[in-house]
This record gives sequence, structure tokens and C-alpha cells, in this order.
Amino acid sequence: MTAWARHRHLLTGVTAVVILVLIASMTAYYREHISFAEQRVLEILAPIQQAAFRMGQSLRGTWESLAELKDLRSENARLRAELERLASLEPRVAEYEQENARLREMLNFAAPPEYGALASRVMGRSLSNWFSTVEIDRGSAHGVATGQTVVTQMGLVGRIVRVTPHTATVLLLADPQSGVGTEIIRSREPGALVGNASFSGWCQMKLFSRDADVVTGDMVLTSGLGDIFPRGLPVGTVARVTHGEQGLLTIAEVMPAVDFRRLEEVFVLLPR
Amino acid sequence: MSWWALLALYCGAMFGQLTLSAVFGYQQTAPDLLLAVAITAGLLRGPLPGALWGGALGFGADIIAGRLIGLTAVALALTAAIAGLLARRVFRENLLVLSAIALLLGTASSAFYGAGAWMLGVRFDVIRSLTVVGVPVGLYSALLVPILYALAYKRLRLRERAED
Repeated sequence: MTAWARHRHLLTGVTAVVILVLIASMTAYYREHISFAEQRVLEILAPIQQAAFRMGQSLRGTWESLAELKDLRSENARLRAELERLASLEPRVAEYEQENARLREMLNFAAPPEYGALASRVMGRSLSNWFSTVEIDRGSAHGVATGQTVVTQMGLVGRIVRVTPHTATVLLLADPQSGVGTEIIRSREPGALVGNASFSGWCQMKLFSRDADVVTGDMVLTSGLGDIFPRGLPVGTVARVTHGEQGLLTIAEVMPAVDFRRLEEVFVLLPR
Repeated sequence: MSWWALLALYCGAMFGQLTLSAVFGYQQTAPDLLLAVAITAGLLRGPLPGALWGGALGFGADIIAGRLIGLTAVALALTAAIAGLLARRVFRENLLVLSAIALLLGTASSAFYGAGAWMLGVRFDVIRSLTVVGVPVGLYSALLVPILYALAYKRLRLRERAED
């Protein structure tokens, strides 16, 4: 028996591993255009992914409800007292309802003037525990393209990194491969916000001066540098300030303005 | 097992993982059902079928993720193959033994992935990768693998008895 016949499984396995590692190295970062085969697979998977996402959210809701059972009795007593109090306010409710209707008409999400806002629903999150992405139900057929900014009314979510005709992948701020040009509102100190590869959910803003004027509580906005993200979008709040290796950089840990755990609807900013 | 049954099992595992990812949501480490299925396949069927299952499941996950395509396939295939090799040397009837193997291999799989990503230029924080992803995935696998193994083993035994 030849060496090939004796070791064919091992040789086949090694060949497969080499090919897979080559593909992985070519796809280590998001590509501007994905292959036709990938597009087809993602398009076919989209409704399945959406169904799985809804089921998962429903299960999570059920679990959270069960976890709250023990607090229900005290909550019940508190709510009864509250109900009696609210009943006494009923005459004013009609007046508030009318005011609310007027304000809702006036309240529109205000995208930067050079952009239109395309509303989209989140239909899935990353399968992998290593990356922070979500899938949305809008794609190239709706004008979505790679590189476009994704926001909510609270602030910056991330950017589009992959598009199929009816879906898109959003790279969230906290992903290790995410990078945003930012500045501190108060002091106008510029910096670069990167996703935290430490999985904390926070981001790191690297300021280019050891004596950068930044303190806990400072608000962070996009600076518009690099022409990737529009200027002036809320990014988050500084939670902690430290110094980098050798003390050359100031590093601010930023808590994102958007609560990614509650992300259900987003806006894609489409250039006008 | 027929091709249809294999395909149904594959699709079921992928759907299950998609659902689990949504249950656990952002910032929480979700159980890796694909890893648990791959380890179970390795334990039941041996290193080669385990590696094939791991490779196929991992590749599917990578296509959906769209990044480092192939790396999860390699990590799961390697993990399942090691499970298959270990299965020849341990007492598989004891669920605690299976649980321990799954904990070890589940954590190791994350280490394989992190190391592979590092070599390809995607740098994760090593300590936190293990504590936030590796160990929790290992613990989840330690729970899932004995359950999957018991279910699959029972089914296989029933089929063998029916054929006899």
C-alpha cells in the first residue's frame, strides 16, 4: 500500500486545513464586495435568521418574566396604590393626550441635512461570540451600501460592512475592528475611538496627547475626520481616563450612547 | 444515517444556534451549540466523522459571519477530532467524564480560534478572551454535550437493536 493510501485521510485533512486558513486570511477583514455565492446564501438565510431572532427574543422575554415572578406580589401592591392615585388625575389625561399627539407630529428623527434616514429593523445578531455585528432587513435594493453610517435617535450604532440585495450587516461600535474619528464636546480634543477587544461593551478613545483635556462624564461626538462618519453624531460618555503604554497616549473608556442590548430599529444614513 | 437526516440535523443545529444567539443578546456569551454538536459527533463516531461535522458546521457559521471564513471550521474540526481520539481512551458511559472533556475542549476551541485570529492579524485581548468567551463556552459545552450524547446514543442503540 502506498504512503498516500495509508495516510490519505491525514493528507486530505491537512490540505483542507491549509485551504481554509488561506480563505480565512483573505477574509480577515470585511470586504467591500462579497461573492455572488455568499450573497445568495445570505439572502436565502435572511428569513430563517429573522424567524430565529424573533423566537430567541420571545424566549428571552419569557425567561425574564419568569425571573421577575418573585417580585410580583410587592409590585402588585405598589401598582394598586399607583392606580388609585392615577384615577384621581383622569380629568387631565385628555389634555395631555392632545398635547402628546401634537408633539409626536413635530418629533421626527433629524438626520444631518446631507443625508436621508432609512428605517430598518434588526433581524439577527452575530453567531460568533467574538464579533459585534447585527443584521438588518434593508439592503442594496433599498439604497444601502457598504460604509454607510447606522444610527438610532440616541446616537451612533456603527457602519454597514456587508450588503446583499435585501439585508445588510452592521459592524457595531464595540467590535474590535470598528474605528471612528471622535472629539470631546467640551474641549474639542480629537481622538480615535476603537472597539474594545476586551469584550467589555465599552469603547476606547485614544487621544493623541499625554495631557489631553478629558475627564469622566465628557460627551463624545464623531469628528467627521476620515469622511467615514458624519460629524456631530453622539457616540457616548467618558467613563474612565487612563494613560496608554509608556504614558504617551491618553485613553478614555467610553460608554456608548446607544444601548445595544435593546437594539431593534435603526436608521441607515443614505447620502442625498 | 440517511443524507436527509444528516441535513436535517445540520439545519437544526444552525437554526438552534441562531436562536440561542438572539436569546442571549448583545454583550452576553451565548452557548456554542455547533461546538457541542461537533464534540458529540467526535465522541460518538470518532475523529474523522467528528472533524467533518465540525468543519461543516463551522464553515456554515463563518459564511453567516462573513469574516475569517474557514477559521471556525478549522477550530471545530480540530476540537471534534481530538474528542474522537479521546473517546477511544476514556470511559464514555460516565456523563461526568463527558462533561469534563466538553469543558476542556470547549475552552480549547476558543483558544484555537483566538490564536488563529491573532496569527491572521485580528488581535483579541488574550486574558479577557478566555474569561469572557473561552471559559463560559466551555461551561455551556460541559452542560450540552452530555445531554446531546445521551440522546444520540439512545437513538443509535435503538436503531442497532431494531436492525438486529
